[in-house]
Amino acid sequence: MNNHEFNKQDELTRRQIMINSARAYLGVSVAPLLGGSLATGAIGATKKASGPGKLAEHVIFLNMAGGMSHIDTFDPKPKNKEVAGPVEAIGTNGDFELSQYLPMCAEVADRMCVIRSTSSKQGAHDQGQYLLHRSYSPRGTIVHPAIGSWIVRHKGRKNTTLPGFVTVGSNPKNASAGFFGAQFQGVPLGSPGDGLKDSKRPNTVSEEDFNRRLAIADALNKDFQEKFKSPDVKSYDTLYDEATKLMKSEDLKAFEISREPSKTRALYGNDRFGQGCLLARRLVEVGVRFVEVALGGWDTHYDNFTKVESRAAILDKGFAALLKDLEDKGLLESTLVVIGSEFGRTPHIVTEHSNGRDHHPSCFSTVMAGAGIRGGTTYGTSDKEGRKPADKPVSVQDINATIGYALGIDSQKILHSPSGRPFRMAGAEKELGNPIEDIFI
Amino acid sequence: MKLVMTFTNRFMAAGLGALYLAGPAYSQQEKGRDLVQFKKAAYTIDKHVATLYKRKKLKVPKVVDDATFLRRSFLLAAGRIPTLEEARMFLEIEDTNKREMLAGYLMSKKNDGYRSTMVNWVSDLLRLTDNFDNGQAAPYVEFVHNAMKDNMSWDQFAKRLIGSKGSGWDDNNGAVGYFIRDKGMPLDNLSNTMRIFTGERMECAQCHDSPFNKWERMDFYELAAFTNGQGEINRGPWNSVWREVRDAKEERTEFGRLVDWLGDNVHYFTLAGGGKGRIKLPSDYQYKDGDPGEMIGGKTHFGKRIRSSDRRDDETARDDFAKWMVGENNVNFTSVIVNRMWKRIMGKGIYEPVDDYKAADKTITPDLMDYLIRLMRDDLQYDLRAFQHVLLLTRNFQFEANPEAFEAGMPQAFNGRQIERMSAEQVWDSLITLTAGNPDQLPKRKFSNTVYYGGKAVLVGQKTMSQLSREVLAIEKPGEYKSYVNQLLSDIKSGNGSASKKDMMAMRSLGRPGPASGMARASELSAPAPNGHLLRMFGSSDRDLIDSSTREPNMSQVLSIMNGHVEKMVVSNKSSAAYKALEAGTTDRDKVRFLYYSILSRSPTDDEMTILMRDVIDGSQESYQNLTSALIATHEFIFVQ
Repeated sequence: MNNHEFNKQDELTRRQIMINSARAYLGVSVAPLLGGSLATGAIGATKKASGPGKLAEHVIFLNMAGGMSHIDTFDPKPKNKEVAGPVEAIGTNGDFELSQYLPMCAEVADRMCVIRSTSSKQGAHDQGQYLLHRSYSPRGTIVHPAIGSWIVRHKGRKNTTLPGFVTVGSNPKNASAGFFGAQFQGVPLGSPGDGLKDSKRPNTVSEEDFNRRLAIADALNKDFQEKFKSPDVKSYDTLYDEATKLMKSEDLKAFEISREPSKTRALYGNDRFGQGCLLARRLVEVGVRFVEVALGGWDTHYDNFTKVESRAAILDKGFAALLKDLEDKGLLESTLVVIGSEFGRTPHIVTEHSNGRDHHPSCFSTVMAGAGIRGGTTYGTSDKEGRKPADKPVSVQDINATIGYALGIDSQKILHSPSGRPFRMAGAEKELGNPIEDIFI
Repeated sequence: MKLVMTFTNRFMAAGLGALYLAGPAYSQQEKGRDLVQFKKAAYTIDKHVATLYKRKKLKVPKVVDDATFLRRSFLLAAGRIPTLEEARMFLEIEDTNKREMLAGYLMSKKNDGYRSTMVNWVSDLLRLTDNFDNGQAAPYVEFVHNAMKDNMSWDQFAKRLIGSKGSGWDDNNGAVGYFIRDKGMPLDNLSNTMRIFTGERMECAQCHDSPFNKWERMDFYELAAFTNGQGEINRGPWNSVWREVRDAKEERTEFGRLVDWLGDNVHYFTLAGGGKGRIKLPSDYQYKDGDPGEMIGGKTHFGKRIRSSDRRDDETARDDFAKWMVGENNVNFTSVIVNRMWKRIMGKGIYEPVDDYKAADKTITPDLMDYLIRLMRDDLQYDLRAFQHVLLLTRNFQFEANPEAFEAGMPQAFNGRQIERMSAEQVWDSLITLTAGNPDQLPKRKFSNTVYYGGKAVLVGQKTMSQLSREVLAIEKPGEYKSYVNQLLSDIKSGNGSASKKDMMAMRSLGRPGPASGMARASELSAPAPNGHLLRMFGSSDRDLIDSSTREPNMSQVLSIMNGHVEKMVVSNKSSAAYKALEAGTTDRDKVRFLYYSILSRSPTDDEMTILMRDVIDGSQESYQNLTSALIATHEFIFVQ
């Protein structure tokens, strides 16, 4: 390639197309795109009054996908055998009991607050998960941003070389930035052990050729970009910029859980969820704002107790290890850990379905820990059967507003979609969420 | 085309290839329904579309150039980009009918791409997975794959799914898997059925009168009555035996494991009875028109009104329901499949969301909708391949994409399509094409009736899964069940010694059943694709929810293009099909042009050629690798225009 002066600066400045590519990819001049947009993109933490005394910096959201049975986990009803089935309650080091399926959580109950009066109007999985993640019901005309994107939008990134929002083992939809665009998009990871796949230049290509390829692609993209003004096309431009930047990040190793001592890895449980929790800790350690880790399989219409027992065992180990590890690392104060689900499950046990439980949106549990949460407590109660909130009902929008509050975000602040429609992190006006301030110290 | 085609003459002289042959061959296959009829239908559609443009005073988009037509057609109808040969053949011949011929080629039975892409489509709709909650779903998966391969009419397909009963292992009876897929959640299954086949969204009415539409909870239960009663065949003896095993803590013994396996793989995959036709209102029923626990009969609320009794269990209620579903009066059924097919080919449904039914007179173009419904139901009798073939022949299909961005989710059926990123399956299958050439020859998923136990083929030449399941399901008493299991265990242990050579050969030549792995089309891989697979990075469905794939951009995709699959499969792989372009051309300019054909399905523009020849291509392998990598990384590659 000696007679081809492709990446020679003089030549580049001569050709407009090449200038642009060089800026973006060759690092010839410092690309202001990302830094600039970050500064202006984040709208900044809002007034101090809208948060607890000490603000959280990160959130780890544990998504119990499929509808976690509240009665068999965080809201046991041991006195009501008809509702409880075979599940007993156990004492904890907090001011409440948990199901026998959560013995390790019982030992860290003093770090968490169990909200037992959450309710929703969405009884189907997709709508329920959508609401849980975005404070809105799905609409045909707009895609709402996920809470992780709202947080990156409000607070900006803490580590500017890494993505602000990562999901592990979750449906990629839960990493959606909706109308905010790619800059606020989460990075969906499949298996925690794989970390951020393909984040290193392959050894089959030299750095020189790697940069050359990006520059060629960029040059060839110009016509297409000019012709099609689609936001998705722009998103890919942004993503290429961010990806090349990320590849150079010194914090990339945070994605490699294999760097953890095997003892630590074992504490979290040898399963995707547990290892995902460990990855989440590593990521908040280097300043990722929002990490979601999903644990599926909670849709226990059929054979509820066998399935919940096995799910709960995974959750129990991973969650307890996460809280202790965050604490050991001095991160628990600055990290809000949330366990959420799209709905709970019926008090009624369906014997024809090998003792199954059906969807139950009208009452379920949410757990918050760390980040100034008053540990060892509950908020709200459910009635004797776990059927309806008996006291201090809480909506999914309230939960999301509370997450915002922990970070000092005014979740009721209106931001506009590109078409000018008003949206809030805490949901639509008539269902607007309010933070539960009482659960903070 | 601006470039001088030095190769055109030579190429055409060398033979006109499959494209030319496909036209007449396809017409013959289609028997009475020849191209003339399809073209007439396409013309009628275009007339209606023209009226709409006139009425709405919309600017009529231009028709796309050949290259865009080629790529769009391939991606939509075959789910992948064309190979170098396919692109050359189309781009370099001059024939006024070549677009029509291409449609014929793509929709010909010989072209496996259509089947593959339809399998992806219908699998997302049905949330098809390789395994049920318990046990394997292979016969159900086989039913769905075969239905797409044989182009089973949509009404027949729906009827089979909703109306089947018995064991999934019975010959040609995999369709019962439709209910087994949702075992334990028959009400959700009904919501899904209504959404899939009638475009009525009833999931709210499952628990309360819907605030968003007309459906009341009573309506929901009246429909649920038809499919109520989804028990298993003769599970009683198994239950007794399993209880004994459990009490004796013998789950891990040979005997215990085999009983467990029979429970999951034989009993679980059965559907007893034909639907009770009546159902009890739930214990929290909250409205005045019924009491909690009250038994109600079935009733439909649109289409032909049918009922079932609340006094006695029915035998054929599911089948009656299935017949109602596909009946001539149920315009919902036709409208929704018309709309789904329109979206597949034209990019957006005539109404959106595509599965939220709108009566024809409530759509933007009632006459067209009415016509399409008649075409689908009366003329083509739910032949989805024929219907899509008609759509490919329309001028409307050939309209240029509208370069302006619309608000996400806005219905844009008629203002020029929106460009859209390829689906995950299109990305994967296109990369496969660049790696291995025409992917129709790649390994496919395999199905077998052989009994596989403990990872091995057993009882070869003695029992198939169908026989085994028939025998097991006929057992009435726990005692008999136990002796049967013991005998089975000893038969399994004594190996395949008694199998004839022919049986063993047949079994071996078929190979191991199940999904393909590695280099195979998306439709042939595990369902759902494993976490972390390129398909998942690009948003393929996890098959938990209906149509839950996504095309949203994310960083993993970009990393995978720069450093992952694209580099490993295509760019650094010297034998990848993309590099056939380098053999096909003798000069650098030709090589570049053919590389463009392979990857972007078009010729480079003069400007591009100039830049590339000046700055990129020096004749070395590396320079072509760089260009290959860059072309795949362009937006043009991953967006469908």
